[in-house]
Amino acid sequence: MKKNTFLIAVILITTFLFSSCVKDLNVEPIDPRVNTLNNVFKDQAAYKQALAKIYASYAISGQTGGGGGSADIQGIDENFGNYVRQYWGLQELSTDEAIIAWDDATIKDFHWQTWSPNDVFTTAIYSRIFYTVTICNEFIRNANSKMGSVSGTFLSDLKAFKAEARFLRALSYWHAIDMFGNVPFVTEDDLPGAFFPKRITRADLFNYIEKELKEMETDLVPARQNEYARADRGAAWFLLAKLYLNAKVYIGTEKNTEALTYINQVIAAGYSLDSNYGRLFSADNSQSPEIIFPIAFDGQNTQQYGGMTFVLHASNGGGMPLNGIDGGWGGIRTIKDFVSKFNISESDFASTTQYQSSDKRGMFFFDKSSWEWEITNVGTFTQGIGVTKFKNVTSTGGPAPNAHATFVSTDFPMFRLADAYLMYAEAVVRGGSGGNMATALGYVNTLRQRAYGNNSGDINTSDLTLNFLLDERGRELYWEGHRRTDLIRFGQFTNGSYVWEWKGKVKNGIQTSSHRDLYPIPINDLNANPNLTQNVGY
Amino acid sequence: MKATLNLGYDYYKTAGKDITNTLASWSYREPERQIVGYEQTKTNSLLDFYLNYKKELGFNKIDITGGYSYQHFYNEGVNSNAAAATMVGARVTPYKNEYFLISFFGRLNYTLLDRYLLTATLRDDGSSRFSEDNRWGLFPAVAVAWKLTEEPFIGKSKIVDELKLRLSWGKTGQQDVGTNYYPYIPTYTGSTSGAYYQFGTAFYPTLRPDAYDANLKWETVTSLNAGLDFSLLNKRVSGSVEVYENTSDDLLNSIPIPVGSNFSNFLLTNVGSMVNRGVEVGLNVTPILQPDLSWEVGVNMTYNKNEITKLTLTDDPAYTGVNTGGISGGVGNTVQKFIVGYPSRVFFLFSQVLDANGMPVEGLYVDKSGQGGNVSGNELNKYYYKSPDPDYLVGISSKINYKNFDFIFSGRLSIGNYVYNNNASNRALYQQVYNQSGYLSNILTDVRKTNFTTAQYWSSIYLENASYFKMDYISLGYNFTSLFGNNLSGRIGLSVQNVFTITDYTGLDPEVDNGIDNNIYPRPRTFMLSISLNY
Repeated sequence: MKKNTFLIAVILITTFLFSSCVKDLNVEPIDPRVNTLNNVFKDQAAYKQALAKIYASYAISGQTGGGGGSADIQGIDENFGNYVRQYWGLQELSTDEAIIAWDDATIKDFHWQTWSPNDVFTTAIYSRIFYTVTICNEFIRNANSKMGSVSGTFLSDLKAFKAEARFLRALSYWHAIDMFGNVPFVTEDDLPGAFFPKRITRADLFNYIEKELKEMETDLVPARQNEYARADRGAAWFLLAKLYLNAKVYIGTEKNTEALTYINQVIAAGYSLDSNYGRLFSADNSQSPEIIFPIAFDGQNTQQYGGMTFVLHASNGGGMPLNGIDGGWGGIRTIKDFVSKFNISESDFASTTQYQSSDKRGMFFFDKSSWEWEITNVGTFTQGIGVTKFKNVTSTGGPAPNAHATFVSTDFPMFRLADAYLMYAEAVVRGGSGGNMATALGYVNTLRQRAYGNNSGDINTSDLTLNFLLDERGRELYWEGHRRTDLIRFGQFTNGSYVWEWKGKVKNGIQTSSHRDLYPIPINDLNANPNLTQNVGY
Repeated sequence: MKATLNLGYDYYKTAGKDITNTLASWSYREPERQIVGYEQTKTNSLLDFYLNYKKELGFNKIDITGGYSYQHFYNEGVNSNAAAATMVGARVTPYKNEYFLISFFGRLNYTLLDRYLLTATLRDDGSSRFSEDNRWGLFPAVAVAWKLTEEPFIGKSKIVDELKLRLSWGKTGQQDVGTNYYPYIPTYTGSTSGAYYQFGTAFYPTLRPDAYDANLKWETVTSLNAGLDFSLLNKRVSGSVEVYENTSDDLLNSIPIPVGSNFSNFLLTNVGSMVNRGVEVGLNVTPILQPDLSWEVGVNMTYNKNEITKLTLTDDPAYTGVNTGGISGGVGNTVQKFIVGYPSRVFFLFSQVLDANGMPVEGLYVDKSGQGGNVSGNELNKYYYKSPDPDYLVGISSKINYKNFDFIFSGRLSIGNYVYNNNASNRALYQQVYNQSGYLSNILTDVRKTNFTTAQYWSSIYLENASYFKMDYISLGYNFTSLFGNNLSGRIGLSVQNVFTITDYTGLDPEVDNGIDNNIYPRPRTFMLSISLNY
């Protein structure tokens, strides 16, 4: 009898253990900050937060503020592997607009145009581009699977969210086609796993971006109707215009007429030039009616040592005014070849450190007692000319919204109306139809009147040449991440048609090889993915 | 028949604060980082239940066990900048994780005539780290042994005390992948304050999809062993000789993956297969055994070779393998490979060219491919070099007792292990002397061996033969039975741990797991004086 009770007890215990506990293996994350794909999208708010991640992937590179952990990508210092920071570096440091003093790894190679396929900075932006693409794909998949079961504003919002995800994917693919050419290609049809993404040619990627933008356009919120910092139809038209204007570079065919179609739509959408040029680069630039698409930063809510925090700090030092930050990192400044486009020379700073030419867009700093005009040592920050364009104070000099001494609140103006005006003029001069010289001249002079404060800087039709436009783009848009693309489109980035101080690692500049119009596919990925091939010349 | 129930419960709690002087630069810049608090609680629970049945029937002995094991690992904690709970930018980041392991197991021991032994086991292991389809791993094992000296036709002799032949085959599973608790589940991680994004005038927390591998499964190791145990000369000499082949399939590893394939650039996945083949010899000898003086010496020697035999992603023979061996410096840079036909984690580097004085020429490498151009931009110019694992490992220990004194030492010899000196490649560069803030910084003196200005991460100059001999432990003791004529007995001992290392390796310590040395803290050498008293 005793034996039987024991046996029964054993059977009961074991049955209980086996049946209840094996189920324990079906875990769900218990971390309050972690959800599964199956339960994360319980409401509309969750979709908005997932969408916010895609936008945030340009501004910051992890889930903890201040660059403090849970980075999106491993093997990279979070603050350094930041999208806008590296995009800015690849687009600006490699040109006549900016040069950096630091010795961080191979960072000087940009201005020298001597980078190699294992460059850490090109690897960083390349990784960030495709990181953003994969999370866009994920969002699109989730939106697709939800679409059928919702209605009302949830459905209409979800459609807009999905269109924005497609826009952002197109934006990142545009960065890829512009900087790397032939790249890996994944869409929402490629589920995350361990596989080799296929390679797409520059021409096919061009067609894909074009098709995507045209398809999603009408699903986007009409121009200027969306919440601030979210993309709308204006942003999609602007990106299409950028794609077409550079088509000769990307696919070998001019598409200036197509460019004009979309530039005209952007211009007709009701954006207006900011009467205060300086506001576009101040901490209150979110209020500017000119900005079409920004990457938003905030001193307290969107913090990292990348993005605009990097641009402002790295370009400060040597006695420059702090303009709302706590100190400079003494790295980036510009060179004499660039400031000469404003007809500014060293002697203009004889009695001031912040000389203002009649073209007020030139915001430079030069202290003749401690700075040198010519750069004999790239590593010395105070050789060259400081740039004070971006500020972490408002346009009226007040404290930035949510001011933080380290993390800036100034947004990165990625697309703005003045650029559309200059693109219009350029597409017309290049022979595109859908615009005319008189309007082009009018747009350019509108910008110059804002710059000069009067019409003393106006030009004539005969002045409106391609070379003038390249310089004007520099004057209007310097340090906004356009210069490399522009110089390539005008055939002056590599080769010897235009050399600037330290181009080609020579003080007075020399010609460089044209294969550098594209950055190399990073070695790490070339190694990891046998479907890829290196760009010609590397 | 015996029923056994083991219950175990471990509980750890840690808490602390890092307080920074407000004048420290980072703390001054970000006041919210002046006090950083952390708190962690870990609990591990264990339940084992098994039934054991033993029976002897004539020449036969049977011992059967069947059971069940349940383990739960749990941790939770909070990281915060505590002083600033009310401060703008204050962050409190709680976390919580768990995983479970459940096993059903059975074992049969059968002994015939005390000389033929058979052991068969079968385990069914379940881990919460894998999806339902891949959750359970069935791992059988069989071992047979023959005690030769129990055979009447061999028997024991004056020389031979015991001889035993062993042969075994078995599979085991591996699921321990560190802090990755849900590697197969598509999860989303929210963002903390400071990592919000602006829409309109509001700031939204974000939701990030995390990288995952839905098909993740058990890594299995299949072992084949044959061995001979012996004991000679009245147990004055004993030891074993063993040959083995261990095949690991579906190796679990976090590896860099092609961009676009997942939500990160690294992924924990099943990488491929690897074989380890080797010989192990162990010998314990007692050369002296007298009442006042005894000496025992132990030596064991292992020779091991490993080779990657298969990679999961592709069978393409042209595939250049999986990158591994992430280093400090740069973005996702690696210096090792998993590649078929080579040892696991073989180093993959450019061959450094030296000048007439034997100094490396910065940026100049052997043009292996013969393609010219930028040699360091062409992966075809990299060579597969050496392995981080030693070819030979020899352990040696000795114990001498003389009257009341005892003297013990133990050491290890490792031959053929190579180390990539990441401290030198990342920190010994002239460009780091000048700091942009306008002051000079100290750098490693290793820079004199290269005179490099900028980082040359893939130079073979940083790969070093890190063979070593380490004296791990030496101790000298004195035992006494009566102190000052009292009944007080005890021992006085003096011991040293990590006594000395003999090596040609130029870094801090040649003993580096996986062969990449970015350790900047030396291992401590510990001196210990101990006195124990019994009364």
